[in-house]
Amino acid sequence: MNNRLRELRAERGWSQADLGDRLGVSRQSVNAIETGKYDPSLPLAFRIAGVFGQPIEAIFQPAP
Amino acid sequence: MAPDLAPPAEPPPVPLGRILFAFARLLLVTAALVLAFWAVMRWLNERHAGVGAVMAATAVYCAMVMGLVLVWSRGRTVRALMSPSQAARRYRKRILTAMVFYIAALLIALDAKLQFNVSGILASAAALLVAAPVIGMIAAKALYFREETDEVERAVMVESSMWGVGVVMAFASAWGFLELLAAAPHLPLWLLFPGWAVVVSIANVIVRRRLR
Repeated sequence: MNNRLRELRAERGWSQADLGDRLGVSRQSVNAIETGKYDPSLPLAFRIAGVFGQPIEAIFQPAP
Repeated sequence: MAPDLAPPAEPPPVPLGRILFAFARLLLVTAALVLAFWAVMRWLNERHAGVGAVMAATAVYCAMVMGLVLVWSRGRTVRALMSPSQAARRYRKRILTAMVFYIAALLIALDAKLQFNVSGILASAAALLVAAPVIGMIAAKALYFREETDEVERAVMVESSMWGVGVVMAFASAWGFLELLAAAPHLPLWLLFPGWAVVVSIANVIVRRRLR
């Protein structure tokens, strides 16, 4: 799964820890999701979408 | 959208060399402790020092092992590998508490066996007293799975635990048949849980590094 987490964080000037605090997960977990090493569950994907104010499909796209 | 913007810099992952060095140091100190314990026990037995001296030496040894675990877990490298979540902190506290009860129960049961040579129901009660904190540690793991809200951390723990179960089951099955058919020396069943815990600890580091 590809995602735009890094880009969206950059726009807001948030560190991984900042995003982790907003999502209630650790910085390491944000890193694992951002680098595509871990695909989040649907509830966490909805939380991420809520934090960035965008629909899930605008943040996550299936890998080609 | 501003793709040219870079997010704030993140701390680099712990280098593998530093992790291996931390494990090697723990292994060396533990080996030195085991050797020292073995030498002290041999010396006490040669002098027929009595149950009290053997118990005191065992208590000192257990305290040193606990101290070693506590000091090791405070190290920068090990802390960087630990889950920072609240559920994981509670889990580690529960495990340490269970370890203290385990050592106390072990000393009480050993004393009951060596000093008073208990048998029957009392011997069974002493054995179950030692098993109770171990069951507590397994319950602590189950509680952790329920309480952990960070799904990545939970996934790391689930995968590490499954590695532990798989390796221990495979080893126990193979060893069981070796005992049955090839006269391999008998291994006590209580070794399964510490063996599982060791495999889980190693798998935890590997799985965690893979996700970082």
